[in-house]
Amino acid sequence: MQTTPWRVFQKKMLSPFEGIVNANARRFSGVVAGRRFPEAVKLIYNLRIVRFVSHGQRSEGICVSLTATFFFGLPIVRPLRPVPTAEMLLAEMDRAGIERSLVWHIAQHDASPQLGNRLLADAIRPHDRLVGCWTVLPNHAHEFPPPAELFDQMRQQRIAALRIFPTAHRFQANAVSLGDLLEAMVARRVPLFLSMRRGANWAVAYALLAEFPQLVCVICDHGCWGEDRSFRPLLSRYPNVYVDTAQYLLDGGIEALVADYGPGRLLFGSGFPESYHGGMMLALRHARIGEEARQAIAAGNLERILAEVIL
Amino acid sequence: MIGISPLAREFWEHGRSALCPIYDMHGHMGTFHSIYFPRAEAADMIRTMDECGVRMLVFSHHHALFAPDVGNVPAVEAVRRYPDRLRAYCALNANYPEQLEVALADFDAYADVFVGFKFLPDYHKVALTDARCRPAWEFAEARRLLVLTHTWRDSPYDGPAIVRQIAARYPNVPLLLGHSCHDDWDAAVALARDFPNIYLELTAVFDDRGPLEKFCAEVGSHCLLFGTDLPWFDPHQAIGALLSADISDEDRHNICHRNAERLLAPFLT
Repeated sequence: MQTTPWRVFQKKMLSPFEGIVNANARRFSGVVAGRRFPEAVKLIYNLRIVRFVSHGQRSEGICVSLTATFFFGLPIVRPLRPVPTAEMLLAEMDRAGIERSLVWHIAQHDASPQLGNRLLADAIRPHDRLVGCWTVLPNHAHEFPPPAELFDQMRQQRIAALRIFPTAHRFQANAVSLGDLLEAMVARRVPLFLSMRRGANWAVAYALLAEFPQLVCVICDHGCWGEDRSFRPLLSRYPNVYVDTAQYLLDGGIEALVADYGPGRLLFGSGFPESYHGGMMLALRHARIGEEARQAIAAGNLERILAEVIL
Repeated sequence: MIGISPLAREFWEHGRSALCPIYDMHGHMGTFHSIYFPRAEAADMIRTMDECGVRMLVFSHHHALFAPDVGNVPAVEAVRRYPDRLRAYCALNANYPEQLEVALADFDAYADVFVGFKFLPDYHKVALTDARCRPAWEFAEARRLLVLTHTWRDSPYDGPAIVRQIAARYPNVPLLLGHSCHDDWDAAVALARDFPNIYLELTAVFDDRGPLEKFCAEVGSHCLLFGTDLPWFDPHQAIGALLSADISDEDRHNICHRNAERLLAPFLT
């Protein structure tokens, strides 16, 4: 079988905003970063841009079609307004005018990754608007399949990203514990999500990225205490690090970050269901940045990241 | 979108509302040790207020709260530079009772600046009920001054049990519970129900999904106040949350301006 560099494949087969409904994957043989993936699959997600729906009409001026940090399911401690099912999540997305989301299930954190991953896969299967993010553990006790098999399962279940909660799940996030998986994630550009609110901290992020500087890593839920002093050094040092807007409440924070790092390092997140969608939506809507930057943060950056995933 | 009401449409399209001005009752100003602020000074904050439709900000300066050497001088200067847009709480640190005494003695010289006092008990490690605070409470009680205090669940300095004692002891003081006893929403509701002089201030509540509906349903919006800790939090984030919550536009008017207008009226004449 002839091998095809995936970037060439991408150029031939994809435009950044091309939509392919109900077709989440195409098989091809590829070489990435000098490594061959004879049965690799390039996920092709529906990348249609859909504008925020405003009062039953399309709203000009901003679009958010893909967000990064939602979860659903019942947390171990009951929240005031739980969102137990994917269907309720979709209803809330409709209310906010959000087209697609990368989602995870709270049981991945609160109960076990194995259970939560299964609940997530089952819940999103009927809903093309939802793309999944699984949680993983170190593999030395054989709790998960080896990386190649894991990626194959991800492809089959429409899972495009991974999370770890090392402080909550009691393991070390480093090469000794997770080296095989993280090396494979780097090669396949599978993004790793680290929540500073749940299961990780800055020390984890700094140590992990020191060992895997090319990892695509999204730091989310970084907190309302203006964490620029913690995440800006990572943005400066590591080219594939991103931060999301959930909990980034800092007045002028979006503008200052775009001015210093460009719009390509920030992903829209609302903090839902623990926060309202509308908070960060209105903040982004009226941030003093250009329209191209606004669109990139609202959707384009995450779409680009997911378009580069190879499973 | 973020809501289907006329207010939601106006804020979404214009970023502010002519019919629903905002009085931000919990702000700060100036640099602070543990946070990077892109817009910490008065001129930048006024620009943010303009963009968000914030008519007035009532604040306590970070330096007054955290640098006893400096005190309230920067707040006085800022209010007198922007008298139509700013008022201040006289920040009190009861660890320095001699400074507190001077602040009370000089209070009348700043009638154009101060609307009352600000306590920060969790940080100063002095409970609201501490005897060193008593002169300020009695001063506020006699003059019906507003008192904004940081409140947080379970705090031995400003938690619900402490607040309950103060609210009962000084019924003429409009007592603004900064952060609404954050995370102990039931306690906040109980306090607001039991004491007509208590107001629930919403800084850091806006990033939680659920308390707004709970407060409006169980207490009513007549005792809720808009706040952002500006320059900490983008007012648009707070407004977006307010517009997303399952409450009415009447509730939003109460929260954004009506309640604050009523409280500030004696100090803005």
